[in-house]
Formats: sequence, C-alpha cells, structure tokens
Amino acid sequence: MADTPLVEVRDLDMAFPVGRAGGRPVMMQVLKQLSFDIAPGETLGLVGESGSGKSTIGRILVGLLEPTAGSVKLFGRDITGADRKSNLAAVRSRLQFVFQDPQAALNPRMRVGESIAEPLDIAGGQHDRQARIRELLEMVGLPKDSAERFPHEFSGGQRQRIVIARALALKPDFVVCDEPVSALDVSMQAQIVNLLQDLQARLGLGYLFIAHDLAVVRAVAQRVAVMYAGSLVEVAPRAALYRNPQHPYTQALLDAVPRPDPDRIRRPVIGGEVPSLLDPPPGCRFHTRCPHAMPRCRVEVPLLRQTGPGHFTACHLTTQP
Amino acid sequence: MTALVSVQDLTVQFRTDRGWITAIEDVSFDIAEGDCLGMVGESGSGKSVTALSMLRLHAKGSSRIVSGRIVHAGQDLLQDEEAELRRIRGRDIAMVFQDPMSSLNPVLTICDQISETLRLHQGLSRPQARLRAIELLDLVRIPDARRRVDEYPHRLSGGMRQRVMIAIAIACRPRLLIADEPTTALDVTIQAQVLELLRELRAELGMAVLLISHDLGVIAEFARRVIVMYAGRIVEEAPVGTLFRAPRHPYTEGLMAAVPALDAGPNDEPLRLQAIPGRIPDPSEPIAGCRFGPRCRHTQASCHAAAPALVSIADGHRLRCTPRSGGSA
Amino acid sequence: MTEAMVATSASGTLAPRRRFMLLRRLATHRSFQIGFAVVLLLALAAVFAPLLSGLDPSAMKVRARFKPPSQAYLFGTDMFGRDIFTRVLYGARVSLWVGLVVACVSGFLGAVIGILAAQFRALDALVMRLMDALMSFPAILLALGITAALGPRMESVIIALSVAYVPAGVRIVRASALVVRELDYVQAARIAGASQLRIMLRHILPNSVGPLLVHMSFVFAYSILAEAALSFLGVGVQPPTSSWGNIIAEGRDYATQAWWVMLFPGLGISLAALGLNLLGDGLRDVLDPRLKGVG
Repeated sequence: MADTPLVEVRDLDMAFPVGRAGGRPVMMQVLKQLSFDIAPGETLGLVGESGSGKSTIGRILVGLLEPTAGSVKLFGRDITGADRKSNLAAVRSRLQFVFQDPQAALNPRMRVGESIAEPLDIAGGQHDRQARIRELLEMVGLPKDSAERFPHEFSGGQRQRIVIARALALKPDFVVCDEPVSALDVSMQAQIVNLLQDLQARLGLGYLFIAHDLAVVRAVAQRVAVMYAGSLVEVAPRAALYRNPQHPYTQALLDAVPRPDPDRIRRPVIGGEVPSLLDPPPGCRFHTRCPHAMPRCRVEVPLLRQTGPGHFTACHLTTQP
Repeated sequence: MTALVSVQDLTVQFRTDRGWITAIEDVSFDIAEGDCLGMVGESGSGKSVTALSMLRLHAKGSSRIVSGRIVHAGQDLLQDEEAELRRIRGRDIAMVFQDPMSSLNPVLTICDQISETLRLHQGLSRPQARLRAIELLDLVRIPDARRRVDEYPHRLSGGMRQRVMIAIAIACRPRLLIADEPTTALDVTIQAQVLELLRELRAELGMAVLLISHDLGVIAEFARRVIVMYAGRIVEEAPVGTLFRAPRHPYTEGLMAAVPALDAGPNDEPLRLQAIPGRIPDPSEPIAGCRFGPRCRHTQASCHAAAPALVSIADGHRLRCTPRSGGSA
Repeated sequence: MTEAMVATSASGTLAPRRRFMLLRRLATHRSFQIGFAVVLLLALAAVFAPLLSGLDPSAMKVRARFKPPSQAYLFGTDMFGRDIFTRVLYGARVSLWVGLVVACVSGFLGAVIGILAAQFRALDALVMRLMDALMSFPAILLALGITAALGPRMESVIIALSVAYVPAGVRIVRASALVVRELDYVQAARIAGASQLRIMLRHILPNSVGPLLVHMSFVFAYSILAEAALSFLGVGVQPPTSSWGNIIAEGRDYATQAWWVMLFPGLGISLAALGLNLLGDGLRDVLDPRLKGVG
C-alpha cells in the first residue's frame, strides 16, 4: 500500500464573520477551495503575501481553527468531520507547530525546561522528564543549563530554538512552521534554517513551511505552493517553480524580490495591491493586477490544472489551446 | 566639496537598569548632496540609533550623546537649540519610519497631517496647504488623490500609508531624506513599488537619501554607497558594487553567505546556508578588542588585543579589521 | 563533527544570570521605598501596640479627661480619659486588618471571576452585566447598604467592602486575560492538548495578575478610608473597639475643645493611604512592560 499522505486537504473553505450588515453577519472568505497533499518526510513550502491566507491554513492543520467547509485529513484521520474531536486527540502527539514570534511563543513566567516539557506533561505517560529535556536541548544546540532559566534571558534566535525543542518533545511526524525565521536577524535565520533541515534529516519530519520570503523557502522546501488572496495559484517542485514559474503572480513575486546583486537588471514592478477579501474581484482574483489579463479572467475562476510533471497552475493562460 | 551632512565621531549611550550602555561608538560618515547611501546591519547594530541621533530625536533623560558632531550647513546639530532643530526637521532633513500603522495619527485626516508640515515650515494657509497636499499625493502615486486626501489613515492599506509618510516627508523638499526600514513591514510586491517610488523621487527632487535596512537585497538595488554596521560600530563602507562583489570585512562576508540565494545555481544543488556562529553581543557585554571577534573565523592575536580602527583601504572603501587593513600585529 | 553538532555548538552563550531582577528594581524605586517604609512602620506599630503602650485602650480615667498631648499621654486623652495614643495604635490594627483582608479577598475573587469570564464567552456576558450593576453603586453606599443589612461590625465592613471592590478587580484581570489568551504560547498549549483548567492556571493567571497586584495596593488604601468613613457614620466598627473612624466620630463633638482626638487618627489614615499609594505607584512602574532603550 502506498504511504498514506501526512496531510490531505480537500476543497478547504474558511470564512470569518467580520461584522454585521442588514442584520446578517458579513463573512470574509479567507480561504477558497484549497486542495493539496503533503507526503511523509516532505517539506512543502507555502508562500504568499498578506491576505493570502497562509497562516490560516497552518492553524487549521493543527486544529486551532475549524474550517467552514472542506476536509482535512492528518495521517488518514479526518479532523474536520463528525469525529473531529476524537480524531484530533488521536493524532495530536504526531503534529506540532513552530510560531513566528519567539517572544510571544514562550510563557515568560515559566522556566524553559517547563515550557519544553509541557507537551510531555499534558500527554502523560512514563518518561524520564529530565533526561528528555536535556536531550531536546542538546538536539537544538542550547547550553545544558538552559532548563532552569527564563525566556527573557535568551536572544531571539535562542528562543526560537526553545520553541523548536518544545515542538519536538513528543517526537512528532509533522510540524507546521509559521514564518519561523521572519522575526530573526539574517545571521540567526541561517542557523535556524540549518537546524530545521538537520532535524528533518535526523528525525524524518514532514514540514509545512509557511513564509513570505521566497529565498528562505527555496533553501528548505522540496515542493512549493504559492497562494494569492485565499487560493492556490501554483504548486510545483522547487526547481521548476523558481526556474520556470508559470503563474503571472509567481513571476511578479520572483521579480519583486530584491537580490543582493547591484548589477541585476531590474524587472518592471507590478502595480496595484492585494484585493480586499471582503469584496474580491470576480473571476480570477489576480486579474486586476495581471499584465496578461484576458476577458475570460474577469469572469471565470481558473482551476488548478497540471501544466508539467508535478507542476500545477491556476491560470487561464496556461490552459489556452 | 562640503558634505550636506557630516557625522563625526558620534557616540551615543542609553540608560538601562544596568547603567549607561553604549549604543553606537565613533560613527563617522558623510552624505553629499544627492547622495544615495545605504546603511545595513542587524538588530543592535545601531543603525536606527544613528538615524534618530541625526535629528536628535532621542529622549533627553534616557539617552546621552557622549561625543561627536553632526555638521549641517555649517552648524553642529547636536549643539543647536531645540528651536533651530525644529526648523531643520521636516524642512532640510526629513525622516520616514518603519511602521506605517503607528506613524500616522489615527484621529487626523491625511490632509491635516500633510498640511501640518506645510503650514509650519512654509506658512501656507489652509486652502493652499490642501492643494499642495493633493499635489503631493499625486507625486507619490496615490490614485484618486482628491478624494483620498480627506480620508483617515485606517482606510488606507500599509503600502498607501507608507506613501503618505513619504509625501509628508518630502512636502518641503528636504535636502536629505532618512528612510529607516521603510519597506520592512510591507509585502514584497508593495516593497518593490515603494522602492521604485523612492528612486524616482530622488531623481526628480535631487535629494539625498539615507536608506537603512537589514535586507541586503534592498540595499543592493537602491544604494550607491553602503555602510555596514555591527554592534554599534561601522565595520565597512564601500561603493555598492565593491561591497557586494568583493567585501573585505568578515562580518560582511558572513552576512552575504548567510542570505539564501533566490536564483538557482547551475545544478540546483541542495542548499545549505552558511550561518555565522554565535550571536550578536549585548551592548552591555564587554568584549576585548574587535567586537566581532568571538564570531569571526579569521581572528589573529591583534584582534583581541585592541579594538580595530576604521581605516581607508582604497578609494571610498573603509574597513575596520586589523588583519585585513594591513594593520600591524 | 556531524552537521547536527555544528548546530549544537553554534547557538552562542547565555548572559550570566541576574536573579530576582524584579525585586531588585522594586527595592531601588524611590516611591516604593518610601511607601513600603511607611506601611511597614504602621504595621509594626499595630502589631506591637501592647509593647509600645502599656495602657488599656478602653481604660477610662475621669480625672484625665481632655488632656492635651504631653509626655504622659502622647496624643492626649478623650472625653472619657482614654489615652488617644493607645487607641490610635489599636485602631491601626482594625484599619490595617480590614484593608488587608478586603484587598486580598476582592483581589482573589476578581482574579477568579475575571479569568473565568475571559475564558468562557457565555459566562462573560452574564458576569460583566452583573459587575456593571455592582459598579453603578458608589462603593460607600453599597457598603452602607450591606452593613445595614448584616449589622454593624468589623466583619460586615469587610464583607461589604470586598463586594464593593470586586468588580474593578474583575475588569482588570479580564482585560489582561483576554489579551493573554490570544498569545502564541497559549495557542501552543492548546495545540499540545492542554485542558482549559491547565491553560487558565499555568498560563493565563500568572501573566494577568500584574495589574491586579497594583490595583490591590490601591484597594488597600481605599478600604482604610472607606472603613474609617463607615465607622465614622456609626455603621462600622462599634465602640469601645477603636477604629480610626470611630475615634474621629467620637471626637467630633469636642473638635474645638480637644482637637487632638480627631487629628491623630486622621493623620494615621492619611499616612496609611499615602504610603499605600506610593507603594502601588512603585509596583506599577516596575511591573509595567518597559520600553527597552537601545534601538
């Protein structure tokens, strides 16, 4: 039997009520008809700007948010259907989350050792707590005497290591990393990225690596998914995405990222802004900014279709005869 | 030629629980008319402190200027009376900050906020200021300026707000615009738009720009000259081409190697980032000799013996590294 | 050396430990120092009252009526010849005790209710309306009503004032708790499957009580004032037990004759309130998140 995918997302919808108008709640469609898989041991990079919905997906995958429609299966168990509570409880120890802001991700009043061991304490069971804490600290490269200290005694990069150590406490198979290095300095970013890669090699973890920084994603992911205004616009293996981006948004994104190369010829900058999710444009949500928009784009929402080996694009341009 | 602004031997300290600590030390650089200078560094490098010091924007009680001068139009800004500084702020030297969400007053309209600087420095009447504000919004490419000018900040997106900030800053045609991480809080595509705007404005108005950022890409694509700061000191200064093609300071080299590359190598090799070991020192930490020493792979005995001096190693290229600037052991 | 071990050695060292930072900062804060000293002094005076004055606060000596302050009677005597100094010292016991208990009880209840309200939306609406209703009565009036119903005694005063000051505590804790429960570390605990109780006790409570502690020091001061008012009005502590309030009440009729009867308990109240306010200011300055200076 083929490996069960770690994560199977089908037709995911997520809407938030943001007020009332005429007696009925006004809903903001943050995610629209999302479908993707993550294989065991794989890193899927999820890229997007603000309003893309990427953080929302992360929270849905670990059970913090309940989607308005669609299904999410983790390790084959559906955490969105009728049995969501029991299914989630069954798989909880196998998934984890790394947060963006190392400052907010640790309880300032708890010692580091306590924070790291909390998942163990909650899950219960027999284990040598002190030994496991020491083991985790060593795995993330923190000094042995860290367990007794408080988070404020550590730098941002070190705090992020603590967060990662806590995420590893129960030996998960899948970790959602939500902008894990965005709040860190450049020199720290490299350390944490390397650490995450080492841990993946050592422990066989699968990651959903959510980031807005395309360059960082390129360093960690095997496959990359690009989101815009709540939908997936392109999914491809890393090399294909960066060398041959097919969706105009992906191309614009890659063009817009500044490179540390003063001689690089600058590409034209794309205008406009991410549309308001309260009043999204009809058809393809990107058509208002797309240099190649056609009449069809204003009317019909493009679906994600295969445009190459493992390469999927949601754009009418690529499906022209 | 006299520089527009000349920062000389600036040393600034802050008061903390542990006493006075040095935030920046011996910072010296010049900005010429129409210059395009980039300042790059990570947290604790002192780049923001330098920028704020140039307009003496720090609180009196918790910070002090230990030494140094900032010379502009023949006067030392650090010695000037507050009233004199107020004339310079916004008119000769203007500043744009990082966070567009908190830089604008939420209870005043855009028109009010732009008009404030116009009426203060140019003595315009209300109707005159309003017209000029609309012109400025056009200049920073905000669509539908006539309507937008009466809106409140919360109705605008982050990118728009940053453009408004720029409009306020350039309202009186300053000779120098200091932009402290102006695009850090913005999306990548919006960042590209704002940087392009800054480039165009610089060309149109002939003003000098000091762009501060931690993002090497932003600096590479914008600046003509670059200053690299680490732990409160300038460690390298060079023309942008030289800095990126042939950096001399180990920290600069380390920084370049740590930034993940976006463009594929020939074989799409699995990428391993070169991290700089260790962490940025706390400003209160006493370190003997070079402050980058503990993290540097190329130290020699002379590095720990005495703090290196900033020396000129080529035309327009300054370096603070004893072994590499031909310093004696 | 494996890759992982490179990462291991690379995280950098930790700064040397500086323990008890908060306490140190408190100890060096000028307002706190003064406030704490004053309150400590008063507390010691109250505790060691019998040692400081060998006299019986209720002992009447007709011959010694209305004596002005002197060496024998430090604060003078009242209309019954009772030593005011002794009465003020024993009165301090009552006032400080009431203040302390009210602050603790209202603080405790405020914390419990506040956190529960922040955690459970359904409870929140009900609780806040209830608190609004309570808060719409001025504290003294509310206390008057309750003591009238329960009968005038120190215990009634304590109950009444505790009830009167609970809503403010609830508001403060609820506000903090609402912020804390959205923070990442609480989400992390939820992801790990923590129960509501665990989240409330280990994460929300410790991080929401800072402002409450400051508030409690002010409640201590308000309670002393309120108790004095209630006893002055005759619905609080009843004579012959002395409380600062009822000493003042007794001295009211003889204000011109024997001003010292009203003055000294009044000074006691002022001093206690001042000391507690300074203490509270110090606490607030130290516990508030401070802006770090270096950019």
